[in-house]
Amino acid sequence: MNAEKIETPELPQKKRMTILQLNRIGDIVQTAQMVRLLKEEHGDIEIALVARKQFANPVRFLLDGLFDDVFIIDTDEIFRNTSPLTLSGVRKKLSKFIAHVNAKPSHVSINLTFSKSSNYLHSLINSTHKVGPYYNKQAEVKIEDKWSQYLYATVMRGDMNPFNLVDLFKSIVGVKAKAKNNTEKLKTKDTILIHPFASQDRKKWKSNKWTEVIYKTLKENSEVKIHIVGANNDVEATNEILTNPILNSYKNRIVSHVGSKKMEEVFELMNDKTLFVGHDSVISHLAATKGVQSLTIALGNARVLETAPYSANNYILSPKTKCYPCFPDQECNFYQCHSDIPYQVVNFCIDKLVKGQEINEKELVSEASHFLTSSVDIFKTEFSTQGLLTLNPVISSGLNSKEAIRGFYRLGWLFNLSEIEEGADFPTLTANCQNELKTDLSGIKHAFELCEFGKKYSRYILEEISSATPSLEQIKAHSEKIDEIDGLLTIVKNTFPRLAPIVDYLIVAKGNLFGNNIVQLSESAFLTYNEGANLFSVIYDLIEKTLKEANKNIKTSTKDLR
Amino acid sequence: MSNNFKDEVMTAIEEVKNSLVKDKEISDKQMEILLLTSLLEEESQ
Repeated sequence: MNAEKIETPELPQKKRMTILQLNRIGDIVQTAQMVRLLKEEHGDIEIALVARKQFANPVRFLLDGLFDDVFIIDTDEIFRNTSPLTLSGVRKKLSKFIAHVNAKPSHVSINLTFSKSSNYLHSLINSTHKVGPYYNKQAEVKIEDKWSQYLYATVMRGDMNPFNLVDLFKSIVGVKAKAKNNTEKLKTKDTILIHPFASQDRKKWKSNKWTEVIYKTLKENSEVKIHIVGANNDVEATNEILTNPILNSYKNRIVSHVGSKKMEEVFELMNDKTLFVGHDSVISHLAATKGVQSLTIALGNARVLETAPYSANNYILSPKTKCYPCFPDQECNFYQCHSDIPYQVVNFCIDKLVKGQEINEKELVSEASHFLTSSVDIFKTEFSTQGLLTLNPVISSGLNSKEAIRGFYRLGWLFNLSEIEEGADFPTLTANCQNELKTDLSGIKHAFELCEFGKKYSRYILEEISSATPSLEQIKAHSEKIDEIDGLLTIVKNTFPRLAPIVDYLIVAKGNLFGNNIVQLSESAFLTYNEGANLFSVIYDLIEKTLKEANKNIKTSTKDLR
Repeated sequence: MSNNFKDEVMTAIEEVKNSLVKDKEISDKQMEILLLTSLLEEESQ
């Protein structure tokens, strides 16, 4: 026997988990927030992180004490520092990296990235269980756990996700520890840390608007100092703000750290007397990690709840613009959403938060005109009794159909995927929303019936197989019916786009059925259709009851008029 | 990136494709090639 004996390292005694997070810095900070809660619950688990050098290194100060191992993929080192550049040279480095990660095998590996590279890398991680996407030996993407299937189907394809990313990571990993509300009284602030930048133009205001905000803040709050932070490539935009003549008399109260402070130093700048103001960016997540209150201005493709700073008492402003939130690849030359958030509203909010006060609708409408507040939504972050982040609207207005159904989905997904019951009040709906939801009910009915047919034909296949003389013809005919049902579900989705999250989820779940033979696969298909039927039924009930309640309120108010 | 290197990568991918066409399971080595290619793709974006 000449076969070489391959040594497989044994699983360590301590439970070990390897998390893959190859996305940007913000995602790494959000992953760290989830891991902090996981450690609260299971301090004895060994946790390793695999991340990219350019995104992980700036926040190493957060990662090193939290993770037991941090494995850094350095693509510069792999591709640019290999001389001469040959496939074998590059592969040698990559293999060495993978061997390094696999030196301690993991009980479970979790891929939170959902990119091609992370899926391939996930396949190469030596782990007993794989959570999240990976490639199987046939080079097909497999996602076996329900919450990752949900994330892939909903977050990656639309704006109907009703959860914060940290809560989604918690659900994927199975973290039960609940994040808590801060019950301490809000403090007055003497410093405002402003990060007026974001990764894309569509997500940030132009300099002149920030100049107005800074000018008014300093004029109205004589005790406050402003610190501006940003990266090297933000220096030019910072100069545009600082050289504006209206700020000439306030220069002694503005400090710019743009391009000069590392992420860790920016983190150190913040304390409980600091208010963070900025767009959706990593700094808002760092502020949340430290419990620093923030006011975030969400623009462009920034989805409010998904990317909200994960702590209580933060405020988020978002535009009511029809096309908001957009998609990163959607062309836009006008940025209507940028002008739908007036700087006067931002200044009103800053003034309140600096004084340690809450932002309330009454004062907002009386101090800033209704004209200014009509195009903007203001939300306050709070944790629900289940420890999940929620956004409470500060300005009461009826929900549109997308917002309403998103709330119903939250209850439906939590119940269906985690058996969690989260209480919610009946939402106030606009008249238009009520009509649209009524229309959706008929779509839900169709989809429910299709799922029931799916169950029926999956059962027929099972019955045929277990009969004394199974007919291949019959099995084929039933299977064709199932294909037809899936096609019809897609038609329902296209006709009723607000039902897309469930249909997309079913498509992903059906692409990842469990089993290696026709019996197991048919059983798994039956369960998936059953899940779909349950979800559609829950959403139908919630819509119907909310519409009844809305109708009751209309009747009561009409009675009052008589 | 040199043309030689690109050619080497393309040849390796062809090999992976061929084994998939022949219904063969892909090995860890081939998976590494796929990882390397996707990392390269992301680098160029």
